[in-house]
Amino acid sequence: MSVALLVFESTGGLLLRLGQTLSSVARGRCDRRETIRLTDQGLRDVAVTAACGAVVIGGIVGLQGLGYLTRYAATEVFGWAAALSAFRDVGPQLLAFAVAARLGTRNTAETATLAARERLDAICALGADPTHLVVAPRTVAIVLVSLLLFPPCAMAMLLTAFVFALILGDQAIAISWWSVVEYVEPSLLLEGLSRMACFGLAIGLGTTHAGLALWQSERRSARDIGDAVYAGSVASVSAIVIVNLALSLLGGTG
Amino acid sequence: MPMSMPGPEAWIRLLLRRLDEVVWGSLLLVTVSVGAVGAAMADQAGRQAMRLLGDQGFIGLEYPVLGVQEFCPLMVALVLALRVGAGFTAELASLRADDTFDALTVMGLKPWRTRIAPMLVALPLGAIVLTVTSMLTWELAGVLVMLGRSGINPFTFVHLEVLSPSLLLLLCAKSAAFGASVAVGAVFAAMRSPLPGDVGTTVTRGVVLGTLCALSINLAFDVGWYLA
Repeated sequence: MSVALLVFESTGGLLLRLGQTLSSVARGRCDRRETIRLTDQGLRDVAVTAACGAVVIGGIVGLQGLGYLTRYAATEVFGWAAALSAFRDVGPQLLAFAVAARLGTRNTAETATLAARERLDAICALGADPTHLVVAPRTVAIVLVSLLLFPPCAMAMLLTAFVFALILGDQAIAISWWSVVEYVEPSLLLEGLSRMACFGLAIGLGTTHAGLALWQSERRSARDIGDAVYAGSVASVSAIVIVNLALSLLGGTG
Repeated sequence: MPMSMPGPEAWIRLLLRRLDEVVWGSLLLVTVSVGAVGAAMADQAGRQAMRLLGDQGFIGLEYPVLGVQEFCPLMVALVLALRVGAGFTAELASLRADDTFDALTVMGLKPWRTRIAPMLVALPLGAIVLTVTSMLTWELAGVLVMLGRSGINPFTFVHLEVLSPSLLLLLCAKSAAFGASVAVGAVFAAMRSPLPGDVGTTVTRGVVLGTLCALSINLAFDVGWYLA
């Protein structure tokens, strides 16, 4: 019963934040300077984690493809299968986990600290709205970072998969690349981008909402901030896998 | 004068409490995550197979192998890094932030033995239990999706005979290594943090470390498995 209540409470809270963010952006009230600052900071923060993650995920994608390549002698379609995994089926989801781990947890920690140190109360006291200064810019910034990160990371994943296939399976890079050019439709990259945008939105909303839970509450200790980060992590994981399933069931076949 | 240390029975109770936190506390999230990923994978595999080959018969043979070899241990590791890793880092960082850790050491209570060692044992054990459980969720998700989307009979889809003992051994070894990496990442981030009072940043470090370690260990296992 308590789990069901928690799910309903969290879903309601997230929908409220989504409405606030969309309204703020649509009415042009989302603070642009703060959004740009947070996007720049987020890109710097997550770049190394995402790059390391992309290389490792590319290796995993390549080795998965190599297994099928060996069993079915499917040399011709290896590049296509690797691109499908890197651009849509596996890459965006695992990259979203890396973004959630680095940027999501940091976002919750910062928002929770703003709430615990009464900075949000101060913003209200000055007559400003935290939705336009904190909630919307943070959510939009995470979406922008996710979108900007995806193309280079997806290419890094694909190239790493090709290199692994070359070193471990003698699969020529030219054949892999030809397979991508021949079979992969450009819409696949757009589908991956739209998935990353949805994951970014889910991470931004979930982690900001978890941080704001400390606002106007008595729980303001260091331990409470840690607990908020933990709640934000759980919200991010749940949101990423559920959004991924929904998009997979609704999406195309590539 | 040092206070009395917990005996072996008390230590086992601490271990069981940690196991309860890791396994029972993460079971719902692991089930939802693995089920969602499994359903998405089965659906995409089914649609690709129909588009390219016009036959979905071989998916039942490949699907459990994909789960055991790759996605079940990896998803459990990522969930543990983001859930248990975050909580454990926050707990240790808070102990350091309010000097409780030093106070316990001064009182002779050895916090490494009572607070950290049980989790270092519980996370690898719990990861194995969760991964084995998640295999059932993975297979069930595949069965439901293939039945619902393509009308494939569950009795023709389920091929558990492809799960060889060596694959199951790989599953357990991967899970234990992932669990250990999450625990070590959390302890390292909390105990080596230059800003112990900044619990939020410390938790971020712990989660990132645990996630990247799990992904890297997974790649190392995959390379070893392919070469073997």
